[in-house]
Amino acid sequence: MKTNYYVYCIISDFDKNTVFQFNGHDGEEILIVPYRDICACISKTNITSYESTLKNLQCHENVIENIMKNYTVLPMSFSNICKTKEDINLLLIKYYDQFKENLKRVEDKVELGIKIFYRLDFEKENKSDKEQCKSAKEYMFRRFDRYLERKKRTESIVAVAEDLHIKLYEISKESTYKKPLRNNLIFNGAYLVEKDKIQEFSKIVEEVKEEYVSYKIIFSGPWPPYHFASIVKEGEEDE
Amino acid sequence: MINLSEEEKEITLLELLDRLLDTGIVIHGDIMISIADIDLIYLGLRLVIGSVDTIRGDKKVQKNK
Repeated sequence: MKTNYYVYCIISDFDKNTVFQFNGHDGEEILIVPYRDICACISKTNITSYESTLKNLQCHENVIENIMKNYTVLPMSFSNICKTKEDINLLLIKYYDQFKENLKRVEDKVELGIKIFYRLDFEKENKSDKEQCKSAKEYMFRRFDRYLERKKRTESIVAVAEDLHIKLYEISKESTYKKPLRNNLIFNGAYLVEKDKIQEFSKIVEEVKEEYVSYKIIFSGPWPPYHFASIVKEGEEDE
Repeated sequence: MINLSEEEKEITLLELLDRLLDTGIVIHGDIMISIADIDLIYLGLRLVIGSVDTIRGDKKVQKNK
């Protein structure tokens, strides 16, 4: 018997008789655990932790995206499993105000994501450098030159990314970004955008994409607002 | 199901990992918190590890000579 509950998201203003036409993990039906005017969308499982495989991640995402078609959602992170229905109830009671506040903040909005990458095959570049260099010393010098060259290019694309971020930030409600500069990922941003501004947003991204063909710019969404759910542990609001 | 190319699959996985594991609401015991840290689990990490090993490998060869 399946005794655990996998939680996908929190929604509000739901119809108690809603029957979802899609399934969750292991083909289980999606059920709701209600409290006042909010509820948690769940499915039964006997697993306590799901592996982050593409299939499992896609299942989690598909359920939320389907619910998102008709409701404002607060997405849960992957593989949040409760042992009893009572646990879910207690959480809904305890965090009711925060859920309501968050749901209001993300209402009629979606998350859009931008990632900027180098179009560079490091492995290939490294291999060709190794083949061409006759000594380890020459190879190290070559690597240093590569480093300087990349640093210069990085600085210029970071300026472009910052410029793009300002433009996107202006038409978003909220945003969060990092310039990881690790390996070939240069910029990683998420934006909370009103549904009727999606087109305006994509137009700006498309323009930048056309202009900077030497970088790989990945524009993704609409996503559930993963980056914009802000729940503070009860009793630690000031932290 | 739509057939994705290897690159598209990798990007999809990257985007999913980035969001589903690093952000969203988390239940921990009887508490809930949200994680909103864009700290990417970067798939290309093995490239760096690979090249460091290669450099180390070169040193070893030289010592042995």
